[in-house]
Amino acid sequence: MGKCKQPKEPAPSEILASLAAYLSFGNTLEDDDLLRLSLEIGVGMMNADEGSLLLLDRVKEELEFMMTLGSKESGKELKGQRFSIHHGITGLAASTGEPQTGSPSYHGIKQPDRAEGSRREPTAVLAAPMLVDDEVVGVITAVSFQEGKTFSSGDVRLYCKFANLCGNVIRQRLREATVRNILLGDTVPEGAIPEIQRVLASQGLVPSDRAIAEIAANLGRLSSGRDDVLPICSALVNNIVLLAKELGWKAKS
Amino acid sequence: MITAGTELRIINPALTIDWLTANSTGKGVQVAVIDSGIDASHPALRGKVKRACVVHDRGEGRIECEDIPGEESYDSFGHGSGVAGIITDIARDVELVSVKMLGENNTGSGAALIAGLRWALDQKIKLINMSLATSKKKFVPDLMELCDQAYVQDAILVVSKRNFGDLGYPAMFSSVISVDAEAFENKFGITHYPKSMIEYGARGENVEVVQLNGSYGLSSGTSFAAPHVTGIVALLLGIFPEIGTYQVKSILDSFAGYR
Repeated sequence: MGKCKQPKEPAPSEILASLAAYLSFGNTLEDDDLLRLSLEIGVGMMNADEGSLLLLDRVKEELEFMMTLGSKESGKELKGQRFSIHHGITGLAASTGEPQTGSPSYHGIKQPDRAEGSRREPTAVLAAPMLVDDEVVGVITAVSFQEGKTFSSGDVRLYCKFANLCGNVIRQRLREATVRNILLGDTVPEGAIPEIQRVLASQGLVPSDRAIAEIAANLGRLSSGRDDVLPICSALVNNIVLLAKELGWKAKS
Repeated sequence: MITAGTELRIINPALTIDWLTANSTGKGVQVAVIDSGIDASHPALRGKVKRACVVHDRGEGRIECEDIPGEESYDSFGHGSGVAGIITDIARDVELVSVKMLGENNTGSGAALIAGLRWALDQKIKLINMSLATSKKKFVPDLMELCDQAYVQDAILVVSKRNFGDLGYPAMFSSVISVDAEAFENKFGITHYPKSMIEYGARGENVEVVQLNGSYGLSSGTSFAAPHVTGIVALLLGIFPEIGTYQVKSILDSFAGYR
């Protein structure tokens, strides 16, 4: 009598790993909602009219509009657009890691010749780099069309702090998503990876994060179907960590 | 207590900003601007860029400086032109030397910054403006060595601090003249911070600056404060071409408080 092939059921350890991954990294806020919320707070803080959040594709040296706030028309046009970091005030902020301010251009040095702010031309622009560990991950802008509006140095400092907060939140999203993928065996199809993660993937994952995630994933695979092996693997990892500490290796967390 | 600055005033009470602006235009002084380039075709800068070099990052650690004629000098962002315009607004007869290390062909990396500074020092340029800074510690040894070299060879480096976060390098080195932004109306306004690593403050808020395509605009930040000091130093060098960083700092101390 032929042996009946049973569908392979996930081992308890696999289910536990998946659950842990979900509980640890499952986001309740969609990427777009997170970006919109961040931008709304930033633009509100600056008493600006519009704003945008761009992420840096380090490989292509380009910035991509991920979220815009203000005119719905311009938002639709801009989202997903890319441009070189070697041009413009936003590119300069990304290239230097320094905040940049701008105003409308005028062609005479005399004040009366200056172009007046209108709905077509902003009166003040502020571009603050989003820095994580002193590396630029993107740029967040605030744009005003109010007559006579300028961004003070206090505004610049505050927006820089906010930009860094945004950068860290976004970067953490990438880390969580990548670690989750590794834990679950990189099962997410290429086409299903959100744009935000695809762009940020060019910036790479902190090596220690990847190492830790891979250790955890390999543990799951090693113990698959053999729950009695899990404590042995766990002890092995503890030994590795202890040894690493003895050798002076410092984990980030 | 008599500081170096007050001492100089005692020696020469006539050495004031008013006297300086009346007697110097910075004629004969070469000023290197290490930045995103200078737009030599801008009406405000036409004929003022005497030399230019473009720092190319060829990858794999290969960085080269390519000389181009001054009249062909260009700017990727307008940042360097803004800086240059402030310098020539204060010292109208200086000769500008553009060292382009930011924008296309170079990534504005710390390595490009170092290569640009090294080139400027090799050319024996007396006055160098760097409205750029890096926070990356791996560049500190090379930058410090070059700034020390500049001090020893009597080249004067005027640098801006970072706008946000740490002060940045080379602004933290004592071998340079470091500048923060102040909300002064007067372009000759200067503040001395005797107990700070950043020693001077100059106009840096809502400054009218040269922009690309023959235009002008308003900009703020430490980047535009440093060239105000560079312009004043150029005026000094127009009269006292031999002075070095130490003497310049003493004189700037005596100018502090000018509004």
